[in-house]
Amino acid sequence: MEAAGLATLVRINVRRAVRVGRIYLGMAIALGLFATSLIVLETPGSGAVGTVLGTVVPAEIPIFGVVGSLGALIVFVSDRSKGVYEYLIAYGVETSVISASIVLASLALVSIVFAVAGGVSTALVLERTGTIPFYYVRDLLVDALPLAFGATAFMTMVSMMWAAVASPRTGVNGPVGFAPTIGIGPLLILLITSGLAPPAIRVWLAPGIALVLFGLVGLMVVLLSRGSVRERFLSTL
Amino acid sequence: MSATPIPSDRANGSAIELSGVSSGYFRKAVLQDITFRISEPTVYVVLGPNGAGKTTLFRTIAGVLAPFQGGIRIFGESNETRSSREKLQYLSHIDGIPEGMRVREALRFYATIEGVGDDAVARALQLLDLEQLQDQYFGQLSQGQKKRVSVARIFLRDKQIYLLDEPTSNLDPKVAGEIRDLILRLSRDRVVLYSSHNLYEAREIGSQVIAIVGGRLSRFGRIDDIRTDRYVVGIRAMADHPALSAYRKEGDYYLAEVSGPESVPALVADLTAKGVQIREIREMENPLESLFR
Repeated sequence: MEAAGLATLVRINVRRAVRVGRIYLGMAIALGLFATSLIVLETPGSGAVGTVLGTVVPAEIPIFGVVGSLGALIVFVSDRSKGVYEYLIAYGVETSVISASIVLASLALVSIVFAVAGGVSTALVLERTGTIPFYYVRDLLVDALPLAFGATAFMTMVSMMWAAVASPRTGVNGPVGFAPTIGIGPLLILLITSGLAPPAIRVWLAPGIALVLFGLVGLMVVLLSRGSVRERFLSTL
Repeated sequence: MSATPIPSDRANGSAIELSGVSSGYFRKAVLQDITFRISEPTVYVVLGPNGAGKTTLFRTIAGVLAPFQGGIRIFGESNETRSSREKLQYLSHIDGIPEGMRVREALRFYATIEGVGDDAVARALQLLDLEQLQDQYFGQLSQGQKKRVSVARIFLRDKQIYLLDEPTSNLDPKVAGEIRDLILRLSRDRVVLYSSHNLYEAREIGSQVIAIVGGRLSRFGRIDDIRTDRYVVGIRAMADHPALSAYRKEGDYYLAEVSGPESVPALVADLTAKGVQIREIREMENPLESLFR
């Protein structure tokens, strides 16, 4: 018998994140579906629908993904303030494993948003145009998917570090309240840089930004594996 | 609970060994140069005034805090290793129960982390008499009930060393007594470090004392060996008597200062011989109080 590893912790945290963040998750899915349906209803002509959906949906999924994944961050902030991590560390669970489990749980939540919003929009595009255009698939898989996952992982990690270094604050003033702003940041960077970058580079911007974000997340996880960081995971109660 | 007693041959070294440990928070030392070694399975009461560093000591041994200096070894191995942690059971003064969980769910959460099954949860619930509360939300329980749930966690998995930071705070005397009995049973073949603010409880449960004052180890040894520089007993008589006029009166008690507990029978015999009808005689000062001075 041995204390839990990463897989066990991720499993537990995904379940808990879905439960405590169900409002955010439901809101993200509902907003995604609402926006998609609105485009379909408001855009005349099947070809135009496909074009508009293909442009808008890949861009909106990262935003809704960021909102839908907040449950994982709520679990972290709550567990830290309740002193749960003091016990996990005593059981031998590394702080890097704790933070990695939260990041992975947030990615699991994004997968749910992505699967529902992406699935429904793809079905609508197919239904209205009779085909799934290449640019749509490319935008969804090369832009939306990496950016949604990268932005969420980055948002969760930065907010966790913020929560760990800051004095406890709740509501919109705290890390959970401010997190979506951090999460939307990479999308804004993409929008700004895509206007400036030459077309040959533009297609690699979203995966490139996602790669940098994942690199930064990896670096932060390594930083959190240092023994001196453990006190940051303790409750201030 | 299956017993995993401390190896009798001590082949793996002391159960707990601290050498020159300095530890604290955010580079500010709370504990300084703590050195002691524990081998004998019994209850070691950790005492000290507020802010002395008791909780920091528990956290450092448990590996929750990394020491700034010095080392901690558990059965000869660094406390940073996974196998050392497997031998330690830690109870913080904070409940550590995740928000929004019911009692059974919370224990199941920790059982999963510890790698034990539902049978361990059922046993812990039974041991702490929590079966009636198992479907209630933790947040809705009284402070005492919350403490019982928190304590139940230490019985999920059998360990060789128990680090218990104020396990009976917020508990009514009956439940506190029951938990002390459980801990005393554990200590027959395991090392138990137990912190308490209650000096009478400390004397009742502990046989050894680890006193921390100002972040430094001020005493390590048998509780029975602690002698105060003055030992005061209170004598309550059935009625006033001229023989008691030599003693200062405080409330219902006449205070007599003697050299130590061994002098009390002679005092009682002397007063009885003079015709004093003694109703009660009690220690007016716990010897452990001297550790706080």
